[in-house]
Amino acid sequence: MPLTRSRGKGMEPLVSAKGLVAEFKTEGGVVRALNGIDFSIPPGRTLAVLGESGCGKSVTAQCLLNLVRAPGRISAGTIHYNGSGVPVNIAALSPTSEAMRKLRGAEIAMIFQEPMTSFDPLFTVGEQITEMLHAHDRTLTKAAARDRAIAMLGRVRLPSPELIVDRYPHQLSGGMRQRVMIALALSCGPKLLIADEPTTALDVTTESQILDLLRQLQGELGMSIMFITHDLGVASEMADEVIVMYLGYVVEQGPAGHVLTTPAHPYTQALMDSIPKLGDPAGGRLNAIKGMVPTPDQMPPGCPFHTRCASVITGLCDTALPPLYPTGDGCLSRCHLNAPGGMP
Amino acid sequence: MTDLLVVRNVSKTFTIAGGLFDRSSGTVRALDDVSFNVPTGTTVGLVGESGCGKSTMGHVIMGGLAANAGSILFDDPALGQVDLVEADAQTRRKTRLNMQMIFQDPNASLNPRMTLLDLIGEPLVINKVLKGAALTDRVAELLEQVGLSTRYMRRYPHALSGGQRQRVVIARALALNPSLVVADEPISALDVSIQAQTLNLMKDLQIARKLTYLFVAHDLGVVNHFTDTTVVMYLGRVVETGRTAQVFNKPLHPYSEALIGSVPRIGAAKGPRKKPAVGEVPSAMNPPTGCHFHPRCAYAADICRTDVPLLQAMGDGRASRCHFAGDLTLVGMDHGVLA
Repeated sequence: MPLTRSRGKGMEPLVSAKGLVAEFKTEGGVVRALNGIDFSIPPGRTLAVLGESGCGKSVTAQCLLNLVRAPGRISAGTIHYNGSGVPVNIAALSPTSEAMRKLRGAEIAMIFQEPMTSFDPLFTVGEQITEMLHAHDRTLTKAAARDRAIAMLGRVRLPSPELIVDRYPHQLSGGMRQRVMIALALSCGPKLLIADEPTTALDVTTESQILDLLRQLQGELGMSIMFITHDLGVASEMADEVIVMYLGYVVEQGPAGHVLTTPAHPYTQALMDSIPKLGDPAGGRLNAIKGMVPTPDQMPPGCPFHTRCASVITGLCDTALPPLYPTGDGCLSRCHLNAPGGMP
Repeated sequence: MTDLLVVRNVSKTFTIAGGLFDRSSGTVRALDDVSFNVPTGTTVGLVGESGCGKSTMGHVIMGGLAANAGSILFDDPALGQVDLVEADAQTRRKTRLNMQMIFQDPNASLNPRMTLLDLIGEPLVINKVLKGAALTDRVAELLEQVGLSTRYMRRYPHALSGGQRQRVVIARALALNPSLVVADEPISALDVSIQAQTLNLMKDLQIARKLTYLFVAHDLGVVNHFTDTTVVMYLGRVVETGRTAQVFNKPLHPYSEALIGSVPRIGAAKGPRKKPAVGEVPSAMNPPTGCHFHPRCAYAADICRTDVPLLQAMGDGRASRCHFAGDLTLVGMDHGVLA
């Protein structure tokens, strides 16, 4: 089946995860970083993964690339990837297998927060892109690889790509480096791009340019994007669908336009309330969320958020983990308050 | 209202060494004729992109870097008005008791081998203010003021979360009862839900202790919420100053407009922005002629390429460094919910 470039619902997802569990062995016992995550990304669309540090968003990305490192492992669940007509379950592949290596980079690529730490400072950006091209296609000649590298650098709107190709990473500005990293990630034509906080280290004007670029490239190349961020504004501007994570659980998910305007889960609501917004009257106190995110080895019983929740129901929230209840418009919320027919 | 701090025409130049024998290969004007006031008991926000000189300004005020020109008048509670640029080392040391700094990364600010008692008590010990039981009592009081249990006093920073560590940094900064606190990106390294707690704490302490903050930040939502006055900097120059609400609602400099327009908005539909900012910050070693912002400015005319605009008063306590400040109709915050 050729890759379809149209967007829309009801089509086969490019990637779908079911019941994904990731565990890490520590001295104090087994810690669960992911507690049964479900999500899917249709071709050509963007899923934003929102959450604070320690909520499991980066582990989710590592699972997609099957790069969860020891002492961690994917201990349950499936990740079905259907890029080239032959569906594979990434979770069942060995991380070191040939099949997995072929997927990484060629089918699923990733960009990171700080481009400087992702490049080798001793090689020009052209050498780093051609290395990637050669790793996936041994037959490519040097000249052809260089031409493709220049073409990719032009694709990410870098001025004079034929000059940039011979530059070293330190000779470029932060925004240019991030463009080079996007060129590198897209050079083998992946169908899924995982972007892990790609604009967090950038200035606000550069950030808006990189976000625009990613949207344009998605329109041109049709790849799906998993966009990991803690910034609700960035998620709004990038995503079709959002999952909000807390302590390894998806607490809310749905179309970005609904979740980020009328959130149903108290955590999403509290997060939105706690952020100073440009339109708000200045001064006064912010509605802070009390306490802090517990460490995964101190996972609260029942609902993971109940220790900090303003609407906590003692006796219910601290004992029973709520399922993901539908809240309309294709949204789901993991809160007892959203149980059908009101509170149980 | 009196001004605790008056910064007048301050410049700071760095020499860049390079080449085989470390010859001087150029200079960077990190601060170029910077002037602004910090009224007592208020919060002034310094905003701009990386490399605009906002952190350098904080360091020059604190004395970590020496200004090349200009004056910084500090209204010291004990000594009266002192020009920090001219002051001798002894006077500077005395004024430094009344000004403290908070940095971005609490992990980098706290010595991992010192307990909270040592960390928070250190400024009191070094300046021979307190010792013994009185010191312990004072540290306990400071811990309570920043919302930490006194049980933590003998613990080390690694036992605390990021948000708690930043509270320790704040307690340490307040130990000597300063009148001015320079906060350089104090919440950027914290999680979203912890940022609000920290900002609330800083606000409460400001009211309780009549603190004055110079708040260096790049997050415009936070600056809009937290500050009374905003100073927008670009490549070492102040391009706009004014009351925060006015600057954000109706900016008078195209750079302020570009900054505000770049902020990602919560609830915005997926899609391109109406007015994206163009280009990137040029190198400070080789800044553009005339108005530094003209290569990125949508309104640039010939005069902008040749003549350096002055920071001109625009009435109502506002000022803008733009040749067309009075003529342009610039867009500030729209009415949607922004972040």
